[in-house]
Amino acid sequence: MSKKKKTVSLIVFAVILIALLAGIVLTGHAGEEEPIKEVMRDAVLHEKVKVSLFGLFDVNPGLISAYIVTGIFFIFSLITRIFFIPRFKIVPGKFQALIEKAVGLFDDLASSNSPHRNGFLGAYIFTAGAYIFVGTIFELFGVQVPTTSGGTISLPAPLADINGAIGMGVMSYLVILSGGIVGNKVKGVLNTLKDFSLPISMSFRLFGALLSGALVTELVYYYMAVSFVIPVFVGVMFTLLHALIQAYVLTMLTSLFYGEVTEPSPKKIKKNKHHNTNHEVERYENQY
Amino acid sequence: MPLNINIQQVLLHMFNFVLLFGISYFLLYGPVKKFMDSRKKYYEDMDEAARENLEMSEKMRADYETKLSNVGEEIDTLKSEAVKEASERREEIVKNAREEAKAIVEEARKQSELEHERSVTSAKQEIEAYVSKAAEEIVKEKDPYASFLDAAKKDSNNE
Repeated sequence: MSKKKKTVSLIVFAVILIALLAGIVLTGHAGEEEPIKEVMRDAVLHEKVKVSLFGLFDVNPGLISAYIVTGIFFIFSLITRIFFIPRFKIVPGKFQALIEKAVGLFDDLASSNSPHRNGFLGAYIFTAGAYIFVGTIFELFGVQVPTTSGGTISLPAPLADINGAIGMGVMSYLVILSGGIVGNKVKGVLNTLKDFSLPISMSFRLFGALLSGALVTELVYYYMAVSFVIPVFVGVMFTLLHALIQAYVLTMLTSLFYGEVTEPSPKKIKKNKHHNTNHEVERYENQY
Repeated sequence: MPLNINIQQVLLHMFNFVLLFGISYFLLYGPVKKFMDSRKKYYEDMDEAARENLEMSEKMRADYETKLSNVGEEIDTLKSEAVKEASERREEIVKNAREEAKAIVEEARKQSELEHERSVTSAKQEIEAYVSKAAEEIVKEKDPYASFLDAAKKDSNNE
């Protein structure tokens, strides 16, 4: 490309950008129609903006996000199961290595934090981790859906909806409780109930973390002066990082608590240890 | 409810999550985990087999080394055994030969003695026959002395 052509291209590029900026400034004042207080309140509570779920219920947009994420996950899993898993090799290719890495990561997390009864836990935290990660990333795509009031809304992360976060927290608590029941019977249940604040803390941690991203992004977009370039960084900071951090935090907490309640009581361990020691002595005596 | 918490929506979220768990477990996590476990087992078996082979070869090496270190001694033992055996065999052969020779000589001696006795007996019998014949002749003739001389003369002529 010659120098002259380069200069012309740069000028055209700059003119287009300036024209667009002028257009943005001159066309309407959409932000002022709805005060910031209202925008923030609605982003948190979703009191006004509702979306119809299959025409059955009017629900928060987060729930629609949740079902779409499940749909995406279902299609991905089905394709992987039919076309890729049967062709898995001993020495993995790139895609196989990625899938195995994800499964191995959560499996290791489960087995390292909960040495007893971690088969189910691995599957649970894999699902939870994938759901939080994909759900949070999903926010970045800005999928638009019609609202019941006639407008459209960009779908948020499923867990930025308080109902979704509570659902997730309660599910995790129930999984921990079930681990306690299976592992330690009544003692396990008591151990789990001792941490009665767990579902609340888990739910609100998720909700707060994911909502903060949505709120900051909303704020940045509300004021036009900061709605250029900055949202890229804000989006990365509050969406990508939260996707990773929250997926890790929830799965780690769930596996830690699960490990705690499924751990056999010291009395049982002592008994087993004693039993093992006797066995060792017998073996030693038989040997010599 | 405060904060727009809606139990129905919480349940809908939970329903969605359980659905997602089922999909994940049966279509993705379960099969991948199964594959990973089978591969792990494959490598563990391979590792176990390699360890067993190594142990076996180490044992064999130690056996061969021991054998190799003892082979000089073994050769010396075998050699001395062979020498001893050969010497015993030689002595036995010589002994047998001597005994055989002795037996032959003894047999020959016995034979000669027997032959000697037989010839002496035969000569005695012959002499007796001559004597008795001569006696008969003497008895028959007038002059026994002359008859004897004639008879002797006759015999010498015949010879």
